[in-house]
Amino acid sequence: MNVITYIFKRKVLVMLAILLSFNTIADAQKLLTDTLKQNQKVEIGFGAQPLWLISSAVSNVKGTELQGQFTTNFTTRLHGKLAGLSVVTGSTEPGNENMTIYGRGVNTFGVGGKQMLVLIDGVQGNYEDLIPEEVESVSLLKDASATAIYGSRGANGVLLVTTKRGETGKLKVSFSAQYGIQQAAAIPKLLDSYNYATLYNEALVNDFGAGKEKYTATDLTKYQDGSDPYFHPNVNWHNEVLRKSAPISNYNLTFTGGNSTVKYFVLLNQQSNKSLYKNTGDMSEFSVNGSYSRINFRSNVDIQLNKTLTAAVTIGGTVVDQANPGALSTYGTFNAMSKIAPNAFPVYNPNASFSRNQLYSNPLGDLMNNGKFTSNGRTLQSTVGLTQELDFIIKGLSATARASFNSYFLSQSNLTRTYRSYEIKEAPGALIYNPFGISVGLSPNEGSSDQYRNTTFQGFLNYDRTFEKHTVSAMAMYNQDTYTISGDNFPSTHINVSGRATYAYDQRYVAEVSMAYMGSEKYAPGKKFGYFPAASLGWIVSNEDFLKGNDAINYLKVRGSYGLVGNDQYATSGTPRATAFMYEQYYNNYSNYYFGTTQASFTTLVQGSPANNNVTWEKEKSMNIGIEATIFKNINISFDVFNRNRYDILIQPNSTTPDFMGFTKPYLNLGKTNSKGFEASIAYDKTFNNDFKLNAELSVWSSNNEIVYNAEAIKLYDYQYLTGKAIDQPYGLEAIGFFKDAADITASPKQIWTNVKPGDVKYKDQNGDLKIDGNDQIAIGTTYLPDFNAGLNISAQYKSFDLEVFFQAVGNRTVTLGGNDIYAFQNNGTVGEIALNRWTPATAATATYPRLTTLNDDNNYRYSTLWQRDGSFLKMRNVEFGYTLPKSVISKLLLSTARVFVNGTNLLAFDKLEGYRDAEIGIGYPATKSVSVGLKVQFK
Amino acid sequence: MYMKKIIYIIVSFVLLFSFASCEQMMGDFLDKAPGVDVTEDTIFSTKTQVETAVTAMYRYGMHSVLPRQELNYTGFQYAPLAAGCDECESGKPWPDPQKWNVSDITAENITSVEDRRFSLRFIAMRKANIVLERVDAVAELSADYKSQVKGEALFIRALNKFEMFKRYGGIVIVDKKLVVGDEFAIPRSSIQKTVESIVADCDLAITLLPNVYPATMRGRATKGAAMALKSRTLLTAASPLFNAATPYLPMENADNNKLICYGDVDNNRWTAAADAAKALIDWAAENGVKLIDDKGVDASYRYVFEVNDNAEVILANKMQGAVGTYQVGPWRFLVPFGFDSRTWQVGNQMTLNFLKKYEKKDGTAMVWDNTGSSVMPLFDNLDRRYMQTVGSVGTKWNDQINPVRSDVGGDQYWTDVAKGNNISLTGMWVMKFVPQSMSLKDGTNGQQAMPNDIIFRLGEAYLNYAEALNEFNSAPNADAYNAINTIRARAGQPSLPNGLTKEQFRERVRNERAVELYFEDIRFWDIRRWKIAEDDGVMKGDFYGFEFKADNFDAPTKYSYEIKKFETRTFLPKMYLHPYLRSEVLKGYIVQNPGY
Repeated sequence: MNVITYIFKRKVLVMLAILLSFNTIADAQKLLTDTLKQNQKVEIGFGAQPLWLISSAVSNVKGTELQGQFTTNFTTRLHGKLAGLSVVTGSTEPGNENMTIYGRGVNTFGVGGKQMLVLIDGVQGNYEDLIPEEVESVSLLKDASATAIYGSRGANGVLLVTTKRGETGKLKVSFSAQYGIQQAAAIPKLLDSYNYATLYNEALVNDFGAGKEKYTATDLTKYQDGSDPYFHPNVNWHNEVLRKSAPISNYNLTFTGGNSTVKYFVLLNQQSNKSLYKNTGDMSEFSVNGSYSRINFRSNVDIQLNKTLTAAVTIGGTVVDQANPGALSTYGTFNAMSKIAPNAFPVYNPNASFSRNQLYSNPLGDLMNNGKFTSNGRTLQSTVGLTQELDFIIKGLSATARASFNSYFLSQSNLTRTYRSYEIKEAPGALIYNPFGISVGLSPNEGSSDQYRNTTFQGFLNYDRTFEKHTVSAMAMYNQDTYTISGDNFPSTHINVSGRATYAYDQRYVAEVSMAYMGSEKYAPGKKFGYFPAASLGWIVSNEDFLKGNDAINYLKVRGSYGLVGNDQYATSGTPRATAFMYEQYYNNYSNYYFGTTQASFTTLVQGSPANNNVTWEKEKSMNIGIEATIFKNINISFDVFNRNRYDILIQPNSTTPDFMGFTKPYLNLGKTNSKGFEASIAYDKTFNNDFKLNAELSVWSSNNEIVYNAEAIKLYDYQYLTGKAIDQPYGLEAIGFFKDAADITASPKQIWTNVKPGDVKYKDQNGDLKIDGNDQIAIGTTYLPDFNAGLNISAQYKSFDLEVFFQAVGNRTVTLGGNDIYAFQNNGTVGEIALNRWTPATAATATYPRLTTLNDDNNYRYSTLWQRDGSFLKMRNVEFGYTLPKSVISKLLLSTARVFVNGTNLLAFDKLEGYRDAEIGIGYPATKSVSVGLKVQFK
Repeated sequence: MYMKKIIYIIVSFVLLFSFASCEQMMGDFLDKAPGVDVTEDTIFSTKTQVETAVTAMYRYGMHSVLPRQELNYTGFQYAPLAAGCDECESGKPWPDPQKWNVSDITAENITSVEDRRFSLRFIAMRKANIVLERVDAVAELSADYKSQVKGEALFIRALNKFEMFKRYGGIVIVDKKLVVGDEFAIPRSSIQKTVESIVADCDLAITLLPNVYPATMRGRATKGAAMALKSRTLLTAASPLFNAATPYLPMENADNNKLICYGDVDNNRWTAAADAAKALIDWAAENGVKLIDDKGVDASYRYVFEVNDNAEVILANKMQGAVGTYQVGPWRFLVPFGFDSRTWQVGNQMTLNFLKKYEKKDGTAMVWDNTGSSVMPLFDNLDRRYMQTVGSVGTKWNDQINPVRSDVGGDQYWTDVAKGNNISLTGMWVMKFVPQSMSLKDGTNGQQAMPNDIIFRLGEAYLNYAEALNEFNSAPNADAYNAINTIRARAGQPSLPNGLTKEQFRERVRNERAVELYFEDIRFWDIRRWKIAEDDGVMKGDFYGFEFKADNFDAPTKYSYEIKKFETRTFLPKMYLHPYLRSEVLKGYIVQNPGY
């Protein structure tokens, strides 16, 4: 209780400090009756401001605009929708998508954390399982002025998701259903048995000389005509394991309405996404059909308790059920299918058992027999808030207190087993069945689970008042939250006091200052807190006399901001990693030593890297300048340009600390980066003749970063330095062709990894030492994260028909081809279509792939420009065509609106990978495209 | 109105000043939850904790002789260093010691080719320094224990300094625990200072260490270990590589020559070495350390290496528990392929160049003809240590390999060429250190044995003594003869003839040393400190082996032999000392050795 009283006193104090700067007390408010979109309120940090008042860089998208793509993961829907946000796909497997989002690219490296802060209704939670039907809008806060109030959590950008709340009005019940069929968009291109055997023969001749072929002409004929399916099989594993299509569906029911006492928004939604695997659960009792299904529920209620006190209750949650046959995720199965040669073994043996060989087990057999892997995850987000209007103290003042509890729990329930399969061998007389594995029953394994919970308490003082020509808005807040993650981790805690004050004069000049005083548990006592101030200015030029009423320029605002934000996240697991509390000296148990004649072992205790008492968070000084305009009434333009300088990044001082210090180098705050870029968008919105509406919006954004200082060890050659290059710049060898003949090999620098032969990849000797080794690696290609993004949305409406198309494009990124469908015959694997372009003495002039070899080649498959590809792509993410039924038809059915539609998701993709890969994912669950039909009705 | 405002102002100022306590209030919320963290104070609070720190000192501070993976996972050493000198050739072409044979040693690859412990040594010395600084302040320890622990720390520190010295010459001496803020730019010390530092540490350790430990603590440093280290150090310092007026290769800046040689020849250095060796021999006599000679001349030598913790071992590295041949290092890398039914073993084969050092049983030199019809009697007539070192063709290795068939076509000759396995190049597979009792059968887990790498043993002291006495005097004296004859007697060889000149005695001592201390991580360094590595047949020139053929492959009675060359090796003069790691040199504190 003492804490709360104390905190309340603090709040009053802060509020007073702001107020002391004002002399006048309020007059009547001047209502603005413009219908420009500039008066719409947009969510910003812990508040909402009309667009014209915002002097920081914020991108915003409405929840309704996110409904186009038919997927079960919320982050996927954000592709290309928010200028400044890059969405990177990890996988397309439902439930295991591993999406990552970046606001304005990345600006840290090494152990520095790159995660953005994502808040749902002001608190951290699991946003990936939200659905657009429950989201009101999503805002991306980009510059220092918008993110400063988040203190040391805001430097990577902040994403705010706001869920829908009720409005005064009659009860509205709406129901929507959507059902679609998905297909795999790209499957690895592997060769069939005949081609595999032909190329394998060629590879053997390359390795061991003429006459060393393994497959005879009879073998090749048998592969072609399929006359011996058991010993000359031709299996396309993807066809055996995957089915042609899988269904996906979504059913949604919402109730919303309100009166002067209560406003509510209630939602119930069920989604289901079946896997592209064949329904092995139907085929075998030991398997389960792959599927993902989720239920979302939400109940947001606002209650007016009395004239000045309102309560807001926000409860939302999900229950997810996932099932996978054979293994916990699909990656292992897809990896095996890209590895097994088409002629390795048939699917079934003559006696109907599953076939396999010494090295590989049968993928279909594994799916049908290795057991059932199911998991159940539940999320709960609950927030209760009270807002008291304090107009009786000062007009326009209100106070809010909020408490929130979010929880996520995932439990796995696996039933595993092994089974017997046979390798068949030919023998005179009968076949030999060579058994592998034993058949046992299903054994349960319920152990694994994962969870986190998050408790937050927030208190606000808000002041919003417009009087005469002055618009004043101020916010002061207190926030404390604890985030506990499962596993051997300490909870992450933050406390901050933040404030923001905005002042606008005559709707022409805007000034805003914001600040956070934030503390985090990671740092030494006395060094936990820091200040993060920011300021911004805006000038609404179109309200000046010289532009007022201008026909061409309806709205023009110029703004700029500058401030300091921080990032206190860094990796404490994985590689590289730092320790959780770096100001404390750690000692670890290490390998044992033995003493005595009886081999008794003794434990050892070893000092970790030296403690760094001054460890602190990364800081970023960021500057942003922007222009927003509406011209010719229908065209909205906005343009932002930014420059961010981050310093105090944690790095190890490799350049100066000698090894004879005798310890692992500690992480010190020495690193620096810089990032620059822009966002631009142009939108056209016009209603023609009241029958035809057209809306088109194009956004492009780009960011480029650079490592300014990273204390790297002194290198032998200038081109080896990472400083001055992009973060995560790949380094590799530069491939300059293939060796032509023995003379070419003798005349070229020696490549140290193997004794090269004609047809092997030739690399460039960067340093002129006549040797190709690790020192010849230079910066090649660019990063995996695209520097350039674009999104184009076109929607048109004519009478009762509507059409929407959305394209997304990225540029300036590099992907690397790899894996068994690319590297021919490596690691006893198979060969893909790309190997048809291989080097032979005949095709030497046009070959794009090295000579074939059956041995694991250490030279040709090294990371080099030969395997890099331009990863830019343009995808048509969704296209939807809908028809709104006429009122005359539906009013008999007690419906007030009804719309049917046809939707296509991910139907088109253009990239430079020649079909060998989808531009966004590697080996694993394939990219999917879907076509669906749907219905949305609202009841009277 | 104004009154209200004034009250507000006063109240706000009062509250403002209480801002400072904000952090204390809110700070508690952010405090790290109390845990069972260990700090340096915890470690130096009780004896059990101090023991963990001391154990860590041994774990980091003791180097390996047998091939295995070092602590910081810099990769496996698949072959012992013996494969990088004339003692043997590795069974496979790719283990790192092979790089010495082709002079492929650079400042970039030195820590992955030979000196994987480069950074580990500094960690070990730091641990020793921490123990030295803090152990006195621990209240509950007895004075004897404190002395012992300080002695052990000084020993570990001196041992690691010596390991640096023998590789690099002048080293960076770090005798205190460095903290962030200390001056790091410590340059290399001269040879003089390096040797003085090592000897000072050893001398102090000798006064502090106990003579013997209870059996449960066997493996810790005794007084004898420090004496043995001092003897080895002084012997190395007195040798021609360092004890010279000009270095083997000059530094760019002549002032730096003192980092790689003394700058003058002083015969007294040999006396100091001789005295140190004698002190060790005397100490051993009084403290239960003695040469193993009671198992008979055909088995005593082998007993020293196959039975752990025997009386001759002064200090052994006990970093590994019991392992079998199927597990990673060291047995797997010592046992040659073909001795185990799996094909992943590496093995080492003795070169003919080295075999020529083995005398006949009568003490005269063995001369090998280019071919011969029956080789087994010739081997039988060699110095008995040969049979206790090599799994020789036609002899019994153990119950599972009886006889060893390294003749053409035999199991121990080759496996699958297509898979890249060598054929046997010399026919003489080294089996020293591998316990004969280890089972090599496929399918079973193989009997396990605990490897104890012998770091110091008494036999070396006699050889040190003989060498040093001979170098100091103008001719070998009785003490020198006694010393070397003691070693020869244990092996069943007759005493050396009297009346040898200094040069002749020197050759006999060097020969004896090579044979006795074969494969024990000694010769690689001996050929450097004697500056004979460039001599033909030592590290340079043609290398030969045997090709054996059975008279009747299925029931052989005798094996013919033919001498064949298998390799030409090179040695560059710069390789007498290792280069310092390039990335360390680029930091600016260390002067690189010449030629790199």
